[in-house]
Amino acid sequence: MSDKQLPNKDDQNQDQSGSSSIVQKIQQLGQSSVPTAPDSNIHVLSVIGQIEGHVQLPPQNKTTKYEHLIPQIIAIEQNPKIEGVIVLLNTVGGDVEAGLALSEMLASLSKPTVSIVLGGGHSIGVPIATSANYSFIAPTATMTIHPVRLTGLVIGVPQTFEYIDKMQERVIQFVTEHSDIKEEKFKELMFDKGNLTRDIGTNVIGTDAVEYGLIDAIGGVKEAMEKLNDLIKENKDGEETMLQ
Amino acid sequence: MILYTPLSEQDIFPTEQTSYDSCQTIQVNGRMVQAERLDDGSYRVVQLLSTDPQDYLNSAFTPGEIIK
Repeated sequence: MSDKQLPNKDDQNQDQSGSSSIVQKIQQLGQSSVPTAPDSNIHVLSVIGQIEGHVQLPPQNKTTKYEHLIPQIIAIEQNPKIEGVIVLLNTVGGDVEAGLALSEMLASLSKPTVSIVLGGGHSIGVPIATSANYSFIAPTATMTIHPVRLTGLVIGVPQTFEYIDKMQERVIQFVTEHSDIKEEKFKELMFDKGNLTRDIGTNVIGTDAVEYGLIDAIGGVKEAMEKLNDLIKENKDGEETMLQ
Repeated sequence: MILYTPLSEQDIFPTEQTSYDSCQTIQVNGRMVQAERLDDGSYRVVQLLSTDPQDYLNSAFTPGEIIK
């Protein structure tokens, strides 16, 4: 009797350990298996949550650190297998200088870039969205355009104000250079009253952003991938004619 | 208690240094991973920092995964 029972017990143990590892997987991943696929020639740069610059935010904040993104952009530029980049934006804004640094890096990338604004691309997310070769916005996504501001302790001298004013001028210049929006229109949206609760600025909705020329087109992942593949093809054709 | 103040929450209730320390960025198989250090010395993946979309399909880097 006892001999017969032993293997049964082992079976049960194995069953339990097998099912518990699946349960563990489900708890950890929310799913039991994930598919695998070959290497991708398109890389994704996600800018999610707050853009973190010189000040480290507490860990409960969802942030995108620019010291993480900048080496990734360099790696993309260097890797010959990567042919294009998609920039996914769903950000509330953040550090102006960090955001501008990211925008400049993306704008100076030699490979084709396409950005998609999903949900929101507010504040300093606007120059990042326009820095790509072609930009898309989801119809329900919004972009808040407002003047630059600083929180915390500042030195109360006229130079501080001038510094912020110059910073704002750089943001305006970058956006107008990298999108079809006119400087007058962008400034009008930036300093408009009555659109935001007790604040200056405008919350531009997807379709309006395209109308103002801030974003190139309405679209999502499918449109962005199609456009990026077109740009990659153009880029390759251009290189070939150069070689001939 | 209601605080009416223009100060940010962190200025009044500073975050403890330990919560900063528990969250680290580490390299796992050549990929940068943001991980939370657990009491037994292992790490739990919080976020994968990679531009390669295929990395996100690798079960070793999915959030919640324990790295020994």
